[in-house]
Amino acid sequence: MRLEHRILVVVALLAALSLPATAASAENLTLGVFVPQAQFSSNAARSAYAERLATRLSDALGPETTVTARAFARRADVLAFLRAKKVDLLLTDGLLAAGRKDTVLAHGLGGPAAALYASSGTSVVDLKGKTIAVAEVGSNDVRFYVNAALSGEVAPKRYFGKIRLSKDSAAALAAVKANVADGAFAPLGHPAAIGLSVVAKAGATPIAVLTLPRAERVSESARTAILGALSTGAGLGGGITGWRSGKGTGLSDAAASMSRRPRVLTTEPELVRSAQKRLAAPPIRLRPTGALPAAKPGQQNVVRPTLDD
Amino acid sequence: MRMLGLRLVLFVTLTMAVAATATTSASAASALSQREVQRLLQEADGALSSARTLLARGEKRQASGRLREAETTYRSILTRNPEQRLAALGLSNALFLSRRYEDGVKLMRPFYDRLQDDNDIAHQLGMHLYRGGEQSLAVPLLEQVAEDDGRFDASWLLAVYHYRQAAWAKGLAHAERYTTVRPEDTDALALLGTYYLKTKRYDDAVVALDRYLADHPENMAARVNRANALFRSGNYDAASDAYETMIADAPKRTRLIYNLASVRIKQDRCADAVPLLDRFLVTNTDASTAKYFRAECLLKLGRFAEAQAAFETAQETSRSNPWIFLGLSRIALEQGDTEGAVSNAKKAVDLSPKDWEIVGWHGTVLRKTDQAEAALAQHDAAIGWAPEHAALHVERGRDLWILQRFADAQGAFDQALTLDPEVAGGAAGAAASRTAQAVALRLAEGGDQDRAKALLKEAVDRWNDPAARVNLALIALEGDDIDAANALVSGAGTDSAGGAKMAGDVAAIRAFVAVRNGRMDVAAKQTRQAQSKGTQLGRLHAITQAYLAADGGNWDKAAEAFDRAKKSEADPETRSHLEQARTFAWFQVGLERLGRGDGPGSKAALARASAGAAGFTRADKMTLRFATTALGVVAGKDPIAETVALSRLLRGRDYRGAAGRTMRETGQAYIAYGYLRGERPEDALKALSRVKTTNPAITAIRHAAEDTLAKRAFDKGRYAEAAKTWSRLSDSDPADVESTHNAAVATFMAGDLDGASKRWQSLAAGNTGGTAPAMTWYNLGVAADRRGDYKQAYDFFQRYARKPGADAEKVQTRIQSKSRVFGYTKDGGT
Repeated sequence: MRLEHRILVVVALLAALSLPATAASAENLTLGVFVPQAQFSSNAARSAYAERLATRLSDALGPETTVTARAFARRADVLAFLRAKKVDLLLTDGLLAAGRKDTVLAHGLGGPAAALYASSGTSVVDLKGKTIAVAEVGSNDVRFYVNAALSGEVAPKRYFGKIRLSKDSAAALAAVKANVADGAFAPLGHPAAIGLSVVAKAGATPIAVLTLPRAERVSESARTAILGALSTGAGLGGGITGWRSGKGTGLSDAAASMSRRPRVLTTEPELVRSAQKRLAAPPIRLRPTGALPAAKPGQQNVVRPTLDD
Repeated sequence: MRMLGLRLVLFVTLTMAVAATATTSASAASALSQREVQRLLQEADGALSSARTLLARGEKRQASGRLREAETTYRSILTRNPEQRLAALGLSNALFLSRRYEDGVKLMRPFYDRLQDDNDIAHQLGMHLYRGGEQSLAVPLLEQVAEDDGRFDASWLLAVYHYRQAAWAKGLAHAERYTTVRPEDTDALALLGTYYLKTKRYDDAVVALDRYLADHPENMAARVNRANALFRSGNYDAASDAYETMIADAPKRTRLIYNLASVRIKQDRCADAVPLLDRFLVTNTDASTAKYFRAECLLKLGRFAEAQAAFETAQETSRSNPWIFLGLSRIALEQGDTEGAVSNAKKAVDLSPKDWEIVGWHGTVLRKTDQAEAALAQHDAAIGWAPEHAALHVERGRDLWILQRFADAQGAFDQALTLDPEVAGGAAGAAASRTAQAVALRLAEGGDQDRAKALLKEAVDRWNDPAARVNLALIALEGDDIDAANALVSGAGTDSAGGAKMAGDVAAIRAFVAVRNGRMDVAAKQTRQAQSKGTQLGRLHAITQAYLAADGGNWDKAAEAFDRAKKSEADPETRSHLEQARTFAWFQVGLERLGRGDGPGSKAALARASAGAAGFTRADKMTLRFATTALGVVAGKDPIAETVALSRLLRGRDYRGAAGRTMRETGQAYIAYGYLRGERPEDALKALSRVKTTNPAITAIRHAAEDTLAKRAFDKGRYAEAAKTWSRLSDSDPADVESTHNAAVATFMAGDLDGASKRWQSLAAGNTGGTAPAMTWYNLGVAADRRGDYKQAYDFFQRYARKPGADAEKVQTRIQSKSRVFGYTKDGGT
């Protein structure tokens, strides 16, 4: 082989080694979008959001990578896709993410308070024994709302008559309006809640997190590129006002709320300190057998005279 | 006799002279015979006598005729017999009565030149010279004859002459002689009274003037002199009456007002003197003495600002009066202006550097400004000039007292008393200086105690000095002569100023005596008295207080007091005695505290007792050892080790038998207590099983042991077992609300929500023997929550938050969240 020929071969090998890994392995990434509590006015708006986000991420990842959006309307659907490993990136609700072990790349800002809605003039007391609707998102959405919006002051199974699961918050709120349910848990400020009253509210609802169900398919550089895209405005909408890397506290709070029972059921009575505080050494009446010696005045007692002047 | 001899010689000489004259006259051939002379003399004398009678009757014209007649006759004799002495004397008399003194002098001088020892002639010449205005020539002649009988007129003239010369001592005898010879001449008594006044024979002056005023009651001069004599004699009341009467009679004589003011000052009635002096000064604006006295009076009255102004006013007319500076110095001292006091005293001294009173005051001011050495120098100087003034010696004694030269001070005070037994401060100083010496001797190592006692005895015997008496009583006490001490302080009067100072010390001694005599009520009273009055006898007082406290069962106080007494005691024997007393007291304290269950307190007390326990009886030693070991169980750092030690001790030989029964029995309770402290409740219960008696503390230990076991079961989740134990405790003592409460907690945790709630509700309703713990309401809230009765839970949490001892913050978030979620309010609404 001629020298010039050999040099060309080496340059070509080096060039091949310097190419990004993504370019070689991730030609297509699927972005699953399941945000049933996000504040989209309609399913179409939600789908448009997913498409727009996929496009922005594709742009961020370079020409060799294509991100394809796949919007889900129901929890069962997304779970099925996840089980089939057909989702590489998942933009979903914190309540769902809290029940999974996926890597969390970023969390959305602007998580609204958790609220209990009902018809105007209704109170929590009025809802005792009544039907409550809630979006089916995570493993125990009611417990989350009870611990968040109602501060754990209610044992839901005993207090509410029935829990009605809906595909998303809009549907849950619509059930109240349709008198199918008497109240609904939903994030505060949901557009579908117009016409209903907030009966109770507290805490925060993690309406969006971006996870990597198939983290092995997303390189570090791709993650960086995705985060960069999110921070420059991609993924805004539906009540998501911004993005920040990592889990954030909202997700862990939500996980805790879902895992613990309401405090009306867990608070235990407390003991008081008992007889220990009155404990004293046993009295014993002992007397000396001797006696005080007779008083003696001591020596050199003197009174110094004074002289008036 | 000598006078008679002289007269006889004179007579013989005169007779011989007359004889010679006659011989000479006869030899002149014109001399009258002796008979004729006698006849003519009788004739002339008769005319002279007649003239005197007429003059006495005021018939001057007839008298004048008779005088001429006598003169002619006498001259007829002298013409023929020029040396006829009797004729000359008769003619001299006639000339005197005719007031022809110059003629009389011319007549008599030749005779006197010849017969200077002839008192008749000297008398006549003297009278003429005196009346003729030659008093200085007349006086020696009159002095020569004044003592002769019948020459009272010479005495009178001499009395008048000396009066005018203010030669009071010279004139007094003449005045007295005259008034003796002429008692009917009461006019002369005014003169005599003045003589007496001026020669300081005030009482005689008053007598003479009283006699004079009996005949001349309106004579103001005599009245003034009499009042002055009364004033001078110190009869101020009578002088006051006299001046007051005169002022009423002659209100314009302002001098009388001044005199009355002087009386008031002497009567120590300055308040009355000041207005009088004010009246006097209205018309006598320059009377500097009156101004000074007014200022003095104001000073005496303590009206210092007015006195200051008055002295300054007096200074305007008497700038160099040292007494004014003295007054200003006194005011300054009274007002605490020591600088001003010294400065003014110094000015007074500068103006009158050798006045003993002023220099003495300067010394006093120096002493009062802490310059005792300088004060002593001043007083020494003053005494050099006026050693007779007792007050100066008192001041000197005070200087020496300040310098703590007590022996010298005694000398000074003694000297003062020698000069004036009543001098102010003398007796107090003499007594105090002796007592001070005695005290110094008593405190000095190897001091002469007999001498100290003698000094004190002298101070008591001579002046009943309270401090000396108290010190003698202390000597008696120290000698264990309680009765003598009591007798001595019983005689210590506390009414006087000196006695009042000793009141606290006397009370301290009486209190101790009462303790020794077992009269604790008296001792308590006297101790309070000593406390309130204050006493120098701190150690004695502390000892008495200790015994009183012990008698009252307050061994804590007694022990503290014994500690204090011992701390301040230097005498080894007394310290040893106090050590015994304090050890016993602390032993008592320790046992009492042990009896009350005050472990730490008992331990501290017994530790103090242990230090001196060598002299304890065997039984006391046993008690102390038991108590100390038992306290280790109560408060030691390793309760198990201490408990084992106690157990071992009680098994020892000493504690067998009846003597150790109580300790053995109670010891088991202590052992139980120790095991409990060491968190071995099972062993505690085992020890208690050996205790036959019971008392609240033992019950409490058993209770605590069982409670500990219940808590352990609870912590290990054996709720039913815990509930059973607490229930038993609760059943055995209805007042044990904590066990009732905790039994409910364990019941709840065992799953019996209703059973627990019932117990808590019963507690909350007060159906038990004690006040329910606040936690009851919290737990009722928890139970209500568990049942789903959130409103009731809310109400219970509210009630819990209001309970005393509740942890309000604990439920505040619950209350707030329930209120937020359900809309509950405190008023019960939603």
